[in-house]
Amino acid sequence: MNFDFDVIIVGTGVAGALCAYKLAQHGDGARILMIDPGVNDIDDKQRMSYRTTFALTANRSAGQIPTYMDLARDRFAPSVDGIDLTRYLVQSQPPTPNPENRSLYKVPYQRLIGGSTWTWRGNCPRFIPSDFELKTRYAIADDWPFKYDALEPWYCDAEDELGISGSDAEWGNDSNWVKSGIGGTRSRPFPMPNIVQSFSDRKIIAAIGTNMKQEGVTIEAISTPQARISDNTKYPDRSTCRGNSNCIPLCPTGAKYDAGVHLRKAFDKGVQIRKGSVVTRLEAAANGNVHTVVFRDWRQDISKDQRLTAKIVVLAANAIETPKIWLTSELGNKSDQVGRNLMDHLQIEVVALFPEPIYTFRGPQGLSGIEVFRDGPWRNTTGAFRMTIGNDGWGRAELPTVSIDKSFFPADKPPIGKAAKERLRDRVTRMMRISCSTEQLPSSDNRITLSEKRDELGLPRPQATFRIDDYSKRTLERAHKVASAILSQAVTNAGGDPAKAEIQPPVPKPPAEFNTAAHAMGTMKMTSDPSKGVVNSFGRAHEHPNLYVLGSSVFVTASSANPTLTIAALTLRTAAEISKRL
Amino acid sequence: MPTSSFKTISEIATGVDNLDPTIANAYEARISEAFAKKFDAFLKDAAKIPAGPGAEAALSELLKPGSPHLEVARQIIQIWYTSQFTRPDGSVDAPQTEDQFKSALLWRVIGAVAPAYSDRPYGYWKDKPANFA
Repeated sequence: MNFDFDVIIVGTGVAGALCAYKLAQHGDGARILMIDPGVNDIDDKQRMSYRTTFALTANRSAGQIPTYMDLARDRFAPSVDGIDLTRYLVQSQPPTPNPENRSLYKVPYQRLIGGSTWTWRGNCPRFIPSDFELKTRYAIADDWPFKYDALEPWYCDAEDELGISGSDAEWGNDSNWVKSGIGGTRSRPFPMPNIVQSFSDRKIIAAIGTNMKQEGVTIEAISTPQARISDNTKYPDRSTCRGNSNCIPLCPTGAKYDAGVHLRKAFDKGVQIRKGSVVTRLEAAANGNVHTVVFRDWRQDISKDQRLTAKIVVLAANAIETPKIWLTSELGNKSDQVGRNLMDHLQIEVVALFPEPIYTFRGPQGLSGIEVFRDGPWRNTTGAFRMTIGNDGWGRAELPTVSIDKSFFPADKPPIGKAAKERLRDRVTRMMRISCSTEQLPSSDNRITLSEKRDELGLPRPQATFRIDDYSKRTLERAHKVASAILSQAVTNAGGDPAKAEIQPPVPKPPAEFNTAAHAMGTMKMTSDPSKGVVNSFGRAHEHPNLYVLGSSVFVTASSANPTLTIAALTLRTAAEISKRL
Repeated sequence: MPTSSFKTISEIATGVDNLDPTIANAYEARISEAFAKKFDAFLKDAAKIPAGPGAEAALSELLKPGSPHLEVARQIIQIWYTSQFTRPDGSVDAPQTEDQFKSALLWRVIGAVAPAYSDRPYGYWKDKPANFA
């Protein structure tokens, strides 16, 4: 059979881009096509255009979409934004005021060339060995079909590809992190030294000290491995970080990794792209193979299906769009796991005022974290969590407009003027924040299904059912308690009075108030046993031998770590497998 | 310069001297368009304040709780510190130019730069800032 292409890749985020590049690099002239709804460019001119849009947009902090708004694309291939979570993604329950909105799945994502990598923070910790063995170690959830050691070489390659700046002293084999038994060993050093920590990090870390314990665990704050450039000797096409304090929604320099890095490399090697094209379905042949990709170009006749064929098809959308395409196509689902086990990192943040200025909003938005609660014997009943020390004031807890109003128009002092300016400076420069990302267990009831509601192209919209269980509630409560105690003790150690530090939320309030990290995971579970999952350990569909799935949708469990580096490592592993078939 | 000047009133209110006159003209036009008579009334009353060391206290007195000028003053502060403000109908008036966005006083007051517009070298964030508005 003659195919139009050797490989068609659906989606141009980190997984699709990395896969395309690797297949082009090793595929010996393979004909590769990428398909994506976006129409944007990936060059510096586009980046500057986004920056202008960002600067001229009202309420920039209300959601990520305004920076990337393209009215035409957004009509036919809507993104999910933080302003209206039901505009495209259908929620299984209607939005209601807090606390009942806990069932809303808050997951902004971008349907752009480059995907959501335009607007991520860039944190790249690895998963840890126990993350792959929850069932064996804690009798909960499931094990992955392989262990950490099997992925470790691919983590190294992923760190090289994305350009990770990290501290070997803090994360290497002689570090407390590895010696504690929580962190996995490393076979290679980071490609670049860690991004230099901020003044605020150093103040807070000094205040934490070396002897602070919470719940019997010694608190150690260390730098966070990041996909941004600290030294561009090895990455001459990327800028070193300029500290724009704007990683989300946009790095204006390209110091932070985005999928454009590998898309440009892939295009240079001959990979083609169909922009403005929404995949409407995949067609399976009688033998189970999926060779035909059907799509519509929304810039043309939206009622007209177009078809292209390939020897191998790769789905690299995300954990929402991939199952949507799969279910719309009525592909094999004997395991009944397609769309199920939707997970995210439920988040809660705790803020305080440090006793002296620490000057955040300078540098990347987060450079350090506390990793020591990512594993422990309690994990059978309470989830893991990792804490990020913010470098951007109080984040969502108090926007600058509120700080300004509080400082200039307080109830008990004369308004305005130089004293008010000093109040503002005093308040904002002392803001410190710890954000906790918690592990959520997979549940078959949390899922993506097809809604009866249709989008502009007449396609079913994805519907999310997302509820948190007691395990997550306990985890959020514990994370809040620990983070509050750390901030309180740090304030005391720095000579302050916790009672005056405005630590909030002041009492444990989860689960009513939480966000997600917009890390959609699960929905296309990876298993060795075809009866229990959708794809095998290389992302190949159990029921469709030439169809592969990339991205966090194949994750078996969520860990408490940011998913992108693991997505990249899995992608490299899968791409190597696909290369053998070209 | 008389206190009837929007720029002068803004300098007293924000606590920041030497505000950019071009930006001041643009902000005056935006606030004036949004608040119309309320803005004019505020300027008129503010013009009665004698220039000099007591101007800030007098303006504070003019803006004591219950003052009809509070909302206009509040939005003048917001536009200078963030380059955006809230109109009477609740909608947000966005920055009109990148220069307006970059000049937002908040960042200068805390020793930072406007997000996405850093002109500083790698690692500047390691030390505490040297210059403030």
